[in-house]
Amino acid sequence: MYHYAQPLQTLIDEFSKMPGIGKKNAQRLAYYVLSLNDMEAVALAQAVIDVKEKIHLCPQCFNFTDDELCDICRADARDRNTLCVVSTPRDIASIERAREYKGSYHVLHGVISPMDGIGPDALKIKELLSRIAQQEISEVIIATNPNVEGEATALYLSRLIKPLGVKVTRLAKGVPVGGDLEFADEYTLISAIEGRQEM
Amino acid sequence: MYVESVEIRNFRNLRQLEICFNKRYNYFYGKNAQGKTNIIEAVSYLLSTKSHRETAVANLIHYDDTASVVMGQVIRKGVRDSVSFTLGEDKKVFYLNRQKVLPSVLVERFGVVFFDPEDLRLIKDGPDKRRRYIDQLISNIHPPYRKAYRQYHHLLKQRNALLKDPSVKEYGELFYIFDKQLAGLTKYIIQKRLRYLKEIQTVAQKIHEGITDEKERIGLKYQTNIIDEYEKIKDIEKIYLTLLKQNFVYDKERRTSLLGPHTDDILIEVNEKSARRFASQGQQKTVSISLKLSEVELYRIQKNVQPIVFLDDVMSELDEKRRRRLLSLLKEGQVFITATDKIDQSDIDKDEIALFEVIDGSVVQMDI
Repeated sequence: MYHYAQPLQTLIDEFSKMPGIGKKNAQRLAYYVLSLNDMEAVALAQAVIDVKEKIHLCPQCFNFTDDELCDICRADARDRNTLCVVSTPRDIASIERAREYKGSYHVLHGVISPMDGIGPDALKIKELLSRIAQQEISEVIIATNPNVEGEATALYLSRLIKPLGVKVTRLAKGVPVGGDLEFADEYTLISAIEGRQEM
Repeated sequence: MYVESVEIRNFRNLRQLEICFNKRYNYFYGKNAQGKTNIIEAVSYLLSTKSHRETAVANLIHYDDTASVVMGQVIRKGVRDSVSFTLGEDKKVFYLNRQKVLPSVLVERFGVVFFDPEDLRLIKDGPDKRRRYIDQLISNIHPPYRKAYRQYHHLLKQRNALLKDPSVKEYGELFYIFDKQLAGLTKYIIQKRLRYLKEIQTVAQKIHEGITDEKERIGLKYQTNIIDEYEKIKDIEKIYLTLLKQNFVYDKERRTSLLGPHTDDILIEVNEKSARRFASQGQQKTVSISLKLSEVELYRIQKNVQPIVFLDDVMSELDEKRRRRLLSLLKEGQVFITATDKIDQSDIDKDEIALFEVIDGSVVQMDI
């Protein structure tokens, strides 16, 4: 069997640990890195170092940031009375892409999953509650994924927050826009019918 | 619907085979461990995307090779489909008319009823077999059921993980947030099971009358610990939630969830008496056959297409009379049969049967 020179092998191994990267893709990436000139390669390495050194969690919403507060928490134009609760920072990027939501966020960094040993204490729930206690929050929108763990987490939060007198809402579930009813599964249709709106 | 031909490469002990099938009966015989079951397994895998024998993908590939390919031509409502799959290290890919498709597309399109000796013990064996029977039947006819069923079991895993956690000592919010979802799915699952059980009962009764010359009546009763009367089904979510809370101590002690559709059972009766306790071995087998044939009939009624039937090693478990009955009841559609002995095909029209002898992974078509 063919063996790569050790440094190359190490790089391949590192790449193949990444999500969605198999052996072959890892090889391609490693050969690509090898083909870079010195300056480019150092820039890549520096980017990896920087992201670890400079990025930390925003102390308010727990999104990733390189500043004291994240861009959204700093922005004046944002509505601070509405909080959208998401499970990962990536979800913020998705919602922001729609350019519709003007409120603030709170990142839980996970969902409740006893199978994986993740309980409420492992999430930023205490922080969420103290935020609600300290700031004037009028509505909490729960935007966890509509799967078993996401639903469980949403239910957990709503039962904690509602007694505090704060309005709690959940993202609507239903037929995708531009989609075809024919292709929606029965489950989605059931929730779409339950969540129907008057015209 | 029928499979016209199939090409098999490196599937289990089958190196390379090309077989043209009869539209009706295809009978594979030969000694044990020659590859009879592997052939019909390859065909049923092609249509249902799974094996009746639970197994890792790697075990399906010939031990001397790293990949397996099976291709088939299927005629369905007069239209020809070319279907294939490839298996490689932990990976399976299905194609329909050369387009990559999700397994569910094939499952929806082609109907398969697989019958193996275990099915004859449907009555004698534990409740898990009867649940598997009804769950498989419903999933086949009504695919969203499979999704709900999977989600239910996923929730159950989360709940059982909580029960095993020594730091969780009381029934609290953490249980509630999973139990609330479980309750919704429980209602859905039990409603579907009740509905289809009723339909099976009607169909099975007719078939069973035919087999027993109208002497025996079949009864199917759903048994659950959650509700005692079926009028309560509309309140089942609330009832189940209360029950889960009350039963928490026992669940915690056993570190597993003891109540729910996953522990329910079906009581099968012959002439109003429990078949499990009072019917003879032969009677039990006959009832099992009636129930399995109902699966074929129900599929045909609901989907308006005749499913393809696989009888794996079932014949040797039956006496001559029951064998003939079974074959005569499969009046329509394509049937694949494996057995150790040659068949007495005097009841079957020569044009309607193909005989194959299987020897060490190769197939010889025999004259009739």
